[in-house]
Amino acid sequence: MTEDDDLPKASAELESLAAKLASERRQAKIDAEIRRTATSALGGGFRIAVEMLAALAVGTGLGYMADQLFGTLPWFMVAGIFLGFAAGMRNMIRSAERMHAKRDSENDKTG
Amino acid sequence: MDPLHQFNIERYGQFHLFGVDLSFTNSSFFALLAVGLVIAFLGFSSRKRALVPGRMQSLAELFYEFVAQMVRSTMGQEGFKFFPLIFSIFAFVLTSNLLGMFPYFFTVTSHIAVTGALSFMVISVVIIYGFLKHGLKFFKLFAPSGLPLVLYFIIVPIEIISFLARPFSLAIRLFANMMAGHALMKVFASFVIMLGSAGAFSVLAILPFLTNTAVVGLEFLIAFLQAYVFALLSCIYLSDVSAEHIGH
Repeated sequence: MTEDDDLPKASAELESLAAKLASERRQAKIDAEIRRTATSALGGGFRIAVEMLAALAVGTGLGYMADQLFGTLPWFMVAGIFLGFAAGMRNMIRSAERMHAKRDSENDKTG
Repeated sequence: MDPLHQFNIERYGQFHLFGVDLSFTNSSFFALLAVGLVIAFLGFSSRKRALVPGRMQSLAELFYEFVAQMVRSTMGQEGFKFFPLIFSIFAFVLTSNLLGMFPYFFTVTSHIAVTGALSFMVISVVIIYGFLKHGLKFFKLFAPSGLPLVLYFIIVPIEIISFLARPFSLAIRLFANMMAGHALMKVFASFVIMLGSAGAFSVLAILPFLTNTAVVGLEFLIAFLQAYVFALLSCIYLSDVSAEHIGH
C-alpha cells in the first residue's frame, strides 16, 4: 500500500510543477512579445522614414528635370519639394495604416 | 581596416561589349552563386517527390508555403499568377542576404544597382499588368474619384510622385539595411582589434566583441526580415493594380 500513500504527495508535487511551468511559459510569452514589438517598431520606423526620403527625392528630382527642360530653375524644383513632401506623407500614412491593419488582425487571431 | 572596403567591386578579367563594361565581377559571382544555391536546394529537396516529406523536402515545402501564404493574404487567389515572380525575388534576396553573412563573402544586395534593378523590374510588372488589365483606366490610380475639381490639380501630382517613389523606397530600404549592418559589424570588429592592442586597456576589448556578437544575431534577423519586406511590398504594389476596381 505504499503506492496509495505516495500518490497524494506525487500529485501535489506535479501540481506545483505544473503551476511553475505555466508561469514560466507566461513569462516567456511576454518576453517574446516585448522583443517582437521592439524589433518590429524599429523596423517599422525605418520603413516609414525611407518612404519619406524616397518621395522627397523623386519630387525634387522631377522638379529639377522640369526646370532643366524649361529653364526655370528653381521654381519647379521648389514646387517638387513640396509635392514630394506631401507624397511622402501620403505614403507614410499608407504604410502606417497597413501596419495597424496587420497588428489588429494578428491580435484578433491570438487574443 | 576600411569598413567600406567589403563593398568594393572587383573585376575578374576584362570584358567589354560595344563600349559597355560587362566584366565578370565578384558581385556577379555571388549573384550566380545565390541563384545556383536556390536551384540546387529546391531541386535536391524535391527530387524524391515523396507524399510524406522527408527532412529536406519539408524545409522546401515550408519555404513554398510561407511565400504562398504571403501572396494569398495580400492578393487573394487571383493574384496567385504572380507567385513565381514573388517566390523568385524572395528566394534570391534571402539567399544573397544570408550569403553575405559568411566572412569574406560579398553581399550582392548591399549595392543599390542590384536592389534598384530588382525594384524597377517589380514596378515595370505593376505598370504593364495595370495597363493590360485596366487599359487607360489605369490612370485612375492617380485620380481618386469623388473629389472637388480644384483638388485634382494638387492630388494628381502628389499621387504620381508617391507612385514613382515606390521603386526607390523599395531599393533604398534593402540596400541601406544590408550596407549599414555590414559596415557596423566591420566597425565593431575593428574596435576589438584597436582596444586589444591598447596595452592596459586591452581588457575592454571584450565590450565591442560582445556587442558585435549581438549585432551578428541582429543581422541574421535583418537578412530575413528585409527579404520578407521586399517580397511583401512587391505583393502589395501588385495588389493595388490587380484589384477589380482601381482607385479608391
